[in-house]
Amino acid sequence: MTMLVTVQYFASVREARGEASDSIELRDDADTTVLLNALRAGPLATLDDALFDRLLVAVNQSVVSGAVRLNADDEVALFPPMTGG
Amino acid sequence: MSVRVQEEDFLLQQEVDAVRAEAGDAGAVVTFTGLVREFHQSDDTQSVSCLMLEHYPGMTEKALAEIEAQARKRWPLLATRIVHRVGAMSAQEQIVLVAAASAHRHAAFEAAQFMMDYLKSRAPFWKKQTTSEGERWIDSRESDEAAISRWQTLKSESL
Repeated sequence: MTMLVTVQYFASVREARGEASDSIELRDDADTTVLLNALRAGPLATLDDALFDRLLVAVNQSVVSGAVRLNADDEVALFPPMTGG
Repeated sequence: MSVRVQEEDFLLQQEVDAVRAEAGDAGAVVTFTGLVREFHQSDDTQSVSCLMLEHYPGMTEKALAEIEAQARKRWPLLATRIVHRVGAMSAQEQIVLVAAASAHRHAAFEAAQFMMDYLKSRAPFWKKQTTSEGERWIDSRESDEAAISRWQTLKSESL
């Protein structure tokens, strides 16, 4: 079984990708590491290593670390380190 | 408690008045106002003609509310406020306000600094500057992460 996960991009990632989001088909037990690998092999193949290696992953509007299991209806986002204030 | 994300500028006095009204019998109100600098780094030779602030709607408000809640858990605060602007700004415009009110000054001083330190690298905002050389996304600084580590160390020492 597979699921369709939509990923939003922000800031330099969105600009480098040229799109605000991608939808990608993953096996339905996929986690955030599987997602990153699938994106790296597909829509984010040309992203600079320096940017890709520093990407933060948010699931349902919270930054996560390590491999976190995904569900099809999760809100997933990728962005560079934050620079507010 | 209040967090706001907005394009328009804010009036410091209006924000302080609102914090004081909420705080009741406070003995201290500390505010911090962040400004857009014309030269982002001391060795920059090109002045910033425009700063664009991008954010992640929804997560931004959630992250700011979480930072505010952490500050209120840590210090006896009577009122807090965070206002952060997004969109296009020019040099020397106000970009962010944090305010904390408490009975005594130490809690208000520390809470205001805590909220700013966390906001810089835990709330999803990204700055892009335009100079005569073109556009550039501003890199995060290690010193911002170090500022957060300091609070975490302080916390473990006080336990």
